[in-house]
Amino acid sequence: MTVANTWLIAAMVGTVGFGLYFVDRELALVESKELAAEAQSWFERAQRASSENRMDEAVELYRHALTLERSSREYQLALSRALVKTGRREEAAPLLTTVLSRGPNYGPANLEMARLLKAGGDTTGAAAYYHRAIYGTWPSGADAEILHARLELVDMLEGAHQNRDVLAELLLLEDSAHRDPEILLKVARWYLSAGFPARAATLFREFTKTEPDNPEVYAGLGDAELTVGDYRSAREAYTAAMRRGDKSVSERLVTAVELASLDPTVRRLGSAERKRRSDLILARAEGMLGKCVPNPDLQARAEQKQSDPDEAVALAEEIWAYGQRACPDIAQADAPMTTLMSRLNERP
Amino acid sequence: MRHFRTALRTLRSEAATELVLSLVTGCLVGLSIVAFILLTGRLAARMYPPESAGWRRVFIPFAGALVSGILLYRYFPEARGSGIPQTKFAIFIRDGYISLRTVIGKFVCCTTSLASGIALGREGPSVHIGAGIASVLGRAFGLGPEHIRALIPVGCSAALAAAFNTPIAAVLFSLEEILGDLHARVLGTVVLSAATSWAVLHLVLGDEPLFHVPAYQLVHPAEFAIYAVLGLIGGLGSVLFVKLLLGIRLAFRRLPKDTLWVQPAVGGLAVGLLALAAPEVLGVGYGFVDRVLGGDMSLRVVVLLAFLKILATALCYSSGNAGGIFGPSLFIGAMIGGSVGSAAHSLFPAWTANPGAYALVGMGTAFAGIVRTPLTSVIMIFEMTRDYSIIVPLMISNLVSFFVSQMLQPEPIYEALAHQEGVFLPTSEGREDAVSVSTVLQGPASLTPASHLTDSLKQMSRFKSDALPLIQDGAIRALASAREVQKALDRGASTLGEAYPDNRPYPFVHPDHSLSVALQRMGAAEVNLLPVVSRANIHQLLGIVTLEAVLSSFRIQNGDSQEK
Repeated sequence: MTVANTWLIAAMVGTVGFGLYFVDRELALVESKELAAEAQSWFERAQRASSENRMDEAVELYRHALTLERSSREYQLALSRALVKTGRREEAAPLLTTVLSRGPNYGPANLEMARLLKAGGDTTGAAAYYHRAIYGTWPSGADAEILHARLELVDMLEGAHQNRDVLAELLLLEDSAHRDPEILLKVARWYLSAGFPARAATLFREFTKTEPDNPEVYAGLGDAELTVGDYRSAREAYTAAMRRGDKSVSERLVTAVELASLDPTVRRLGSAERKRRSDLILARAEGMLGKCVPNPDLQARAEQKQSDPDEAVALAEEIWAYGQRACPDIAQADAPMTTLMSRLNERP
Repeated sequence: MRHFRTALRTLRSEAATELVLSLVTGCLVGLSIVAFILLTGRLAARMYPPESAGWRRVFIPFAGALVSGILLYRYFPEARGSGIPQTKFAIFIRDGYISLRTVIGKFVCCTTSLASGIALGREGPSVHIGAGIASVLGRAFGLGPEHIRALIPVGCSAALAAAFNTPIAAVLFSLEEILGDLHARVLGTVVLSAATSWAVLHLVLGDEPLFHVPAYQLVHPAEFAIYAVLGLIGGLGSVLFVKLLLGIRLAFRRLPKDTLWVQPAVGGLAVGLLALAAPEVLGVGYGFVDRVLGGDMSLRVVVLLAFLKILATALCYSSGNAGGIFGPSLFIGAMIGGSVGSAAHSLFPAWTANPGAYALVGMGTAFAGIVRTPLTSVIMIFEMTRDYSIIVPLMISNLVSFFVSQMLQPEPIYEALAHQEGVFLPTSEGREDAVSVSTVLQGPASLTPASHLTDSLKQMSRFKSDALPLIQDGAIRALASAREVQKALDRGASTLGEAYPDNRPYPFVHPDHSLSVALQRMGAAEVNLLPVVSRANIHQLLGIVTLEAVLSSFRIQNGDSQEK
């Protein structure tokens, strides 16, 4: 074979090769577009099935979509959500793991994983994924989803009584709630249930300015003030709630009224009124002691008239503490006294 | 020196030519196979749009098979079949000749039949197309038959690397199955073309494995036993498939030759009717393989699909449709594995992995049992899925399947198909049963420098040979031949020491050499006796081997094989 022929054949082979390359590229493009369109069609059908609660069908359709568009995070997440809804958590986990292996900071995937772990009872693991979700990367305009993730996290922590963590999240939530009244109300309630009634009361009080006609606000304020120990304010709040149509607070109002009349520590209370209240407290403590297991020493001291209101209250506290130990049922039957004694005991 | 330089230039030129042709073949084959895969896929998508009517599943395979049947009959008779036996015919019988017409015919007919849903695979045809492109290129550049034959496995490995996205398995398959020799001289060029083709595939289509599988782990050592059971069942399934295919093919071959053009349509109609009940049997079915690898199909469905696919593929292939059996083997294996896995997981959930893991191993199991390339099978499944955790179970299962299949169906499928065509290709048996020199080794016989020349000639005739080794101080110095001893006598020499004053290079063999090597070296040296020497020291004489002993050994073997 001559050199010229060799070059000619080489040129022909090269031409064929280039031609094939361009044909392949075009075919690859066509395939990519068509597969994406078909996958999207399956996905939309799956979304419709999911919205109509036909979850088994939705799972099948999501799988079809995923077979065509394997790398789609959206499809994988949708499938994992559908699997969780059909009770197939163990199938959802590997899907989420795959998504997260490709993008560990992907917010939506972390959120789904958090929900999965929460459903499985792993609060610690779920909390970690919630944090990754909240601080991870999200598509634009996902602020509401991020906020919702934080709400879920707080709800979970509150249910697990992890109060310190709850407080940390609530402070951040307050900032990020953008004055959304519905969210802030939730935050206030959570402050209360997590053991931070003062903060709850502050928040509820602010709400009374912005939502003066909302009975829930006043009910919440009443609960917070009751827990804080400001029984007079609690009484006023409950009264306001009842005036605005919330009858469910009536029992709590009665308690608040009674406590307000008993509390000897109210500021600017006259000495005569303080004496009267302290005697009343001591008398009720004595009454409880009479029904309880006898304690001669306490009995004797109670029979002596206490001229000093503080000493009378102190003795009442001592009697009540004894009653809590010796006959708790009898002591706790007098709920207002129990509440009052408990608050007085917490004083420094 | 001038000869040496010319030889060196020739060697360099040949090596350079081989290198360049490997690269060019790899590129061209890679691009062609990518086009083949994409075209087949896009055509199939148009023939079966989503939620298409049921009549399509019957009509389209029938019509596609009819069209490709006519084309094969009228224009491209050499393009029939899977392509693997045809490629081997080309190497061992036709000096590497595959026409361009066959390449084009294979491309067109397989695209038509596979896109219309015929239950065959694209990998076997890809191998034939790749081999054909290599053959055409070799002839275009004026290479001789020997070089063109050497290019065929180059084209095969490039094709398989692109078709399966498995470059290592492609190399192994070309050597293990196409050539039948893992130590073939062409290893370098085969590797190069596979790598080039794989690079081309990635350039056009990106880096996606053929199947996506979740990561699996061995849950409990007891699973090894279950994988062995899978190997057993996979082996039985493989035998069922092979026997069914060969049996149906024999039936079709008995039909009149002028019905060849319509036979594929019969297969197409049959698979269409099967597809009415189970559309999953149409085409290769890789989408369903993906799903069962994810553990997504119920036991009832996978068992049914395994049987239906065995039937559909056997019918399609036997009726003469263009397409291969690699893809269907993987499908069948995945379904068998999924069945075993589902059953095992429901009985022993705490000890077994997800059924998808068994489907993964099952793919390799059926491939090893049907195609009989266990090493290729293990590497292929690993490369397809990139899941290393499953390799040991894969090896166990593959080997069990291989042995079961070998026991119940001694003749591998490609050999059986070739025999049905009346062609007898070299088999691995020939190589495995190669007798070594050690079996005909006789005790050391030698001469010394002090031996008289006439005595030396008498000694040689006693061994009925024309040569004997010359030993001094326990080491071989030369191979004394009768011709040279006679010449020395005529010159007036009296001893061998005078006839052979210096050490001389001599032909020899080692005990583990085959008899064919001994024969070859005897012929090259023109002697009928060779010294047998140690591999550690070629001057250490271990014995001798004579032509008579070698021929006698072959006569015994031939007697045995004729009796068989």
